[in-house]
Amino acid sequence: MKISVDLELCQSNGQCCYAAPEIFDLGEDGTLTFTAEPDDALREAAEDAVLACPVQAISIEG
Amino acid sequence: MSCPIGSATAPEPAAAARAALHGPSPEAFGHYTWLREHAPVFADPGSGTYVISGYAQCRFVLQNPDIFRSPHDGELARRNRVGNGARTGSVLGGMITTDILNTGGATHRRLRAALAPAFSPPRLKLMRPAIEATVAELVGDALGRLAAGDVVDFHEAFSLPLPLAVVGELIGIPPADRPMLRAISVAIAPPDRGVPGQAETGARKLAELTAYLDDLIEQRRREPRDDLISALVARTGRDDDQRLTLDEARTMCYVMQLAGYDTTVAGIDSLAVTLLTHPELGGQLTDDRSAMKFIDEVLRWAGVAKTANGVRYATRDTELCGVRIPAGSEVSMIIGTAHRDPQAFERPSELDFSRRGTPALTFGTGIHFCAGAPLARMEMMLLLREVQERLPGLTLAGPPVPSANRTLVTYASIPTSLPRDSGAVGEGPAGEGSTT
Repeated sequence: MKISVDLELCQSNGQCCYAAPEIFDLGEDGTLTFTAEPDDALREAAEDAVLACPVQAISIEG
Repeated sequence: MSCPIGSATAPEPAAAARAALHGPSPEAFGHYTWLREHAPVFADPGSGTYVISGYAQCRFVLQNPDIFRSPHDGELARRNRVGNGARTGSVLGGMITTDILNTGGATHRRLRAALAPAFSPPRLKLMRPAIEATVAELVGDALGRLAAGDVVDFHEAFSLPLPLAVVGELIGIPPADRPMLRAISVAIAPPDRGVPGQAETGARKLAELTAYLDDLIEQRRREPRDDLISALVARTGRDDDQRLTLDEARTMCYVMQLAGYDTTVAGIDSLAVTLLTHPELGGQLTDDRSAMKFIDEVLRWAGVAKTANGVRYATRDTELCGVRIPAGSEVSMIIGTAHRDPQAFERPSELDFSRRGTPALTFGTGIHFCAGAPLARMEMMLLLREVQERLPGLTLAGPPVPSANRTLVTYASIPTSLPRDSGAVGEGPAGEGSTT
């Protein structure tokens, strides 16, 4: 599973961090960091993050 | 996106649309269910507005700002004219040229970037102890009165003061000034369509507010603190493409005050009413994650954000659910009924905390998604949990009284009391209750 985020779209809403805290993290200044190739066990959480993103910036490949 | 076959005919949908938009909250439900089932995209012949009540259609409008743009302030002002021609003042009082709710594109991105750090998870973690302290204080005050056998209005005791304190803390408004600032905001943007003469009062109050915020901004420029005003002031001094103007910084403070208050009050009210009428649901609050699911699902189910996502304007001729929407048309979304759309939510009238897949639109979606959503959820959770722990057995002392509101499901009062045999009473300062 490979996660990609369109940082042009990302507004640092942080919804992904609540849906999948194991994968996504927002720093104090609102900068997003994430695990690009998380364990497959986290697929459900990753899918929740995709749906939760208000600006549809997250996608999963594989 | 699926649409019912056939189209509804006027005047029934028009009456339903009006009732849904302007009636008191609970009555509106019946009307807009009818509308969603018969005409999820309805062209209201009276107002010329396209009323959207299907979930997929609402979501599409909100996620496509290129096709459905936010209104300009002038449009909001026109919209708020009352029947006799008197102006009520626009939602934001006309002082706004570039506010975050009604801009798009690069300006909106710059404003959002200025706001994002204020709601980041590390930031919320820092705010949490202060919110917990406020919550503990409010519950302590109520406990004393409840223990003495008084009926306490949940709306007044908790729903109103908590968001006032939290938003004030976030922005950096001194506690003593918060009620005054709140009164000014109400005068500028009344919760319902205003009365004749309101525009004049509003303009005067707006000047007061502008002067107050400018003073505060000046103070923070000299002595920055750890609050939103200081962060915004810092951005006015930048010389890159992220620079804010003084107008934008001041407007942001005002908009945050406005956006973070009534909405959160309404959310707390509906959560409280749900818990008081379904005490068996309290177990959902134990850990943060299930508490968040609980909050999102109750807010969906209660339809709190009735029409809170505001209006949009079509930028070009387009078609939604088989209905042609010409360029320039006004589009109004009834999120409250979209949340009961069976095409989007299985058994939509049931509370189901295991729902996955379809996000509710309570906090919006798309570029105008509520920046403060994580903060609002956190304060709701902390309050409900404290109430549950320290006021077990809290019960309705009479029916909750709904109030008329165009944009939110709201309550005027939620009378509560503590039964004499409740475990909480013995802990009260009055100390006269039995703990058996």
